[in-house]
Amino acid sequence: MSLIVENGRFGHRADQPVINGLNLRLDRGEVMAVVGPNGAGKTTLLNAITGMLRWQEGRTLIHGRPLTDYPARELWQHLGYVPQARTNAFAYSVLDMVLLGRAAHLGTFGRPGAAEHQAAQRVLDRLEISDLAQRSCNAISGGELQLVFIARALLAEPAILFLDEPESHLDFKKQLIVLDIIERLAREDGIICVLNTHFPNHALRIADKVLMLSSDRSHRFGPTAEILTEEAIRACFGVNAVLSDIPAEGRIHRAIYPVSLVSPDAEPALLRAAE
Amino acid sequence: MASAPSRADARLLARPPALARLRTLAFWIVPLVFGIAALCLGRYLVPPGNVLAILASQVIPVEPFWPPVEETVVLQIRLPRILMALAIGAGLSVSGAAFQGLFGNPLVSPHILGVSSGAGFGAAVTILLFRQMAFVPLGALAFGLIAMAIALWISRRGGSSSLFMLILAGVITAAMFEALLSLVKYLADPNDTLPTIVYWLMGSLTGASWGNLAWGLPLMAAGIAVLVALRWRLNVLSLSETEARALGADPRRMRWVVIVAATLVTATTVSLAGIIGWVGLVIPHIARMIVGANHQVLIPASLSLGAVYLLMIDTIARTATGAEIPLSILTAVIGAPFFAWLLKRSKGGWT
Repeated sequence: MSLIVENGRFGHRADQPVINGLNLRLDRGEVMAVVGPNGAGKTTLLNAITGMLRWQEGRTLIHGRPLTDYPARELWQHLGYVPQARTNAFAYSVLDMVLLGRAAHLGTFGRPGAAEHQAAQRVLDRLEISDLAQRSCNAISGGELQLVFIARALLAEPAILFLDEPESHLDFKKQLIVLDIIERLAREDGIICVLNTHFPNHALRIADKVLMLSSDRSHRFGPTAEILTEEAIRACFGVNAVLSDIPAEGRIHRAIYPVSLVSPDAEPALLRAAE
Repeated sequence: MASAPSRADARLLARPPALARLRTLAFWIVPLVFGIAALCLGRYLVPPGNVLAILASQVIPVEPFWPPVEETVVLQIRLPRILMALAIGAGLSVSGAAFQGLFGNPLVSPHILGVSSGAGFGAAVTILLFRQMAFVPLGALAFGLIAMAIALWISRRGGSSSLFMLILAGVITAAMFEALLSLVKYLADPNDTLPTIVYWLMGSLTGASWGNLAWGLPLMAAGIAVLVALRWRLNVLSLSETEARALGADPRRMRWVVIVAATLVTATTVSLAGIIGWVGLVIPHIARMIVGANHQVLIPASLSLGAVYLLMIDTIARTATGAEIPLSILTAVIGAPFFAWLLKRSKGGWT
């Protein structure tokens, strides 16, 4: 089980790549966080890796086989995608919404039966949202809806899970719930998890690897501790930040605190220093 | 996180079988009961016993104890019209539900792609040129399908078409055919042809006959069958394009299939009975209030409810006064206050 990107290049216009020369490899149970400022192309990157957008150059390999060789339905039995929580025009019940996750496994005219209902029940139990099963997706909180979308993606039993800013609009508690779930899916089920996040601290908490995208279209990929340094944060986000270790509950938690904005005059020098 | 049984288990497992089966049964029985009731009603009242016996006599030998005129009224006049009302009501409401799902927008009606305007123009031209009603359905169907082809052609860009483009293309097509229709009305003889055209456009089932049913019913049934078969998939299509693709669907191809099926149904209904508004827009909403948003249940519910609704409207249209009342007037005059009352009651909380 692996996710490999070889020499990926993508731009909405051919002469302006958003991402160029991307190489990465993730193996079973690894979590990768994609961090970077607004507009750096995090969502575009997810779409390119998953084949929603076509690489201009390079390719994605799923389990060693080029992504483009998979028929769509088979591909999405291996991949799961969790969109940002947004309400739908129609108020589907949580159970109905989660069952849609089985679409890639069912034929064109297929409909979910007893087996799918049991699978949905198991996933809802695992995410501890069984009580919501008959509620309308438009009547639950944003955090709960995010969990519903995760449940929907899990119903396809994916080997690789892509999450687009899954904890963006959630309060502290819901953030931890979502992050813990992602971590458990990786550690217990061996699912490769790729998540876009606005929070470097979340990457520090659960990610094995980090892909850092900058507004200048450069990127860095590697183990979390090597990529998320004070210098890199400064260069990438334009923020002076301090890394520190917080001991709590018998564990050392690595955290990064943004202290001040990098002053415009200092920026060029700092950028040079970071490179 | 271990799968400890929760309160939801019981609800989840207990709900589908019994209730769902009862509901499915109701979807069939209610239109049937209303259909038989409508067979009795009219200027010439036929007792229910006689109606059932006349119907039975078509399958098993029954000694006739009813006046022959009743048999003619029931079998030749009312039955084809009632079947047509059921089929057209079901067709409009199912294609409305399908279009709403497809566009992820509950304000869409089956007339969105300009098909009805095309069909209306086709009917008007046929009336103008041939001055008799026999060819009208064919003219309407032909131009309805032409309108669909034009809308789809306009919306295509590099082998695919976005929903937004499709709606715009529908607006353009509709505007075009509306203008042409006005031209035909302008040219028509105000004493003879014009009233025929105007009356036809308001929708009526007076043209119902076994002959029209013979070609109209298979066309509608084919389109409806496709939508019914794809009803669970419509849930996937109603999500954003990215989500639909990530669920393994090929939204573009599926969208084509749904559009062609729903449009075929709409065009056929317009060909048979003129432009009947309101049913395709509102019946899916009422169905949603009753069974929820899931298209797997919503589509059969819309089918049944739409059939019953148009049958009721048509029965009123042909019994209330000596002259027939156009259907579009009744669907809205009766439907609008009812829908307003439902909205008030539910506080719009069904979406």
